[in-house]
Amino acid sequence: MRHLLARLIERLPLETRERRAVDETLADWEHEASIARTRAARAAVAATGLFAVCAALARPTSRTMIRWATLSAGVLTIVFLGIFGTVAIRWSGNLEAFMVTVVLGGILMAAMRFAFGRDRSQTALFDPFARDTFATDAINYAHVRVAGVGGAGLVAAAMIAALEFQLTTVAVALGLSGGIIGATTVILIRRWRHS
Amino acid sequence: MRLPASERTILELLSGGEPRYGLELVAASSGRLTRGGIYVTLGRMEEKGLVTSVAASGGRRLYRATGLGERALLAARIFSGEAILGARP
Repeated sequence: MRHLLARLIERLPLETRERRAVDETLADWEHEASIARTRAARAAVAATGLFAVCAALARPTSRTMIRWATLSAGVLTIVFLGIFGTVAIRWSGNLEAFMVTVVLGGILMAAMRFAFGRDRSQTALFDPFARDTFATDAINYAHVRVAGVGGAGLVAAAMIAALEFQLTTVAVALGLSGGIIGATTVILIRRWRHS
Repeated sequence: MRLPASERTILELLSGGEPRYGLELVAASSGRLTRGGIYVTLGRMEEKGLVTSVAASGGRRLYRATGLGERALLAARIFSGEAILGARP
């Protein structure tokens, strides 16, 4: 039973500290089982060991479930707000409703970012943007990482806004052209320097 | 630094300097520590620097109080008045 439980636990998405706690609880169970001589003693060790492992798992499991439920609710609300905002601007042309949706979505995203980023380990991930020379705070005030799903969403939102508003279309077209020209220049300069 | 009751119990049990297993701490705590929660507490205390551990046989670890842990326990005792009342001539 202990081995089966250990194999099942191996597949659970536990954090490092929680996994270590469960592993040590399992190790205690194994140690006690190795010194238990009678059948009654072995049964008692199995019962207490199982109870201890379940107790050690209860806390991370409940927290994971709460996080999952919160994340699901947040994602569903953001999807709903996205659909609502698209409908508001696309079919009714209601800019106020679109802006309210954007503000609500932003607040929700900030709340989720705060809730899920609070207990992140400081050494969990290397920040590939940490050595960027130029700060983008002035144009990316919300510090949205322009990479992955968040970056794709940001680009999609910019494209939708650019296609809907003519003034923005011109600005985005100018920015796009400038970006392409700037990037090409930087690439050519770097190639010329390294050659 | 606030010292929770479970952490204080662990530091009291480790204050002799003798390294102990988590299971031994549970057994010596007279029900104040539980097997299901001891290692989460010990892990947290290790991150704070209050205890240190070394790997032993069978995946188990031996825990020992650090100097910071000893000072934290002393501070907790002074704060609760135990150290002053206990220091009789």
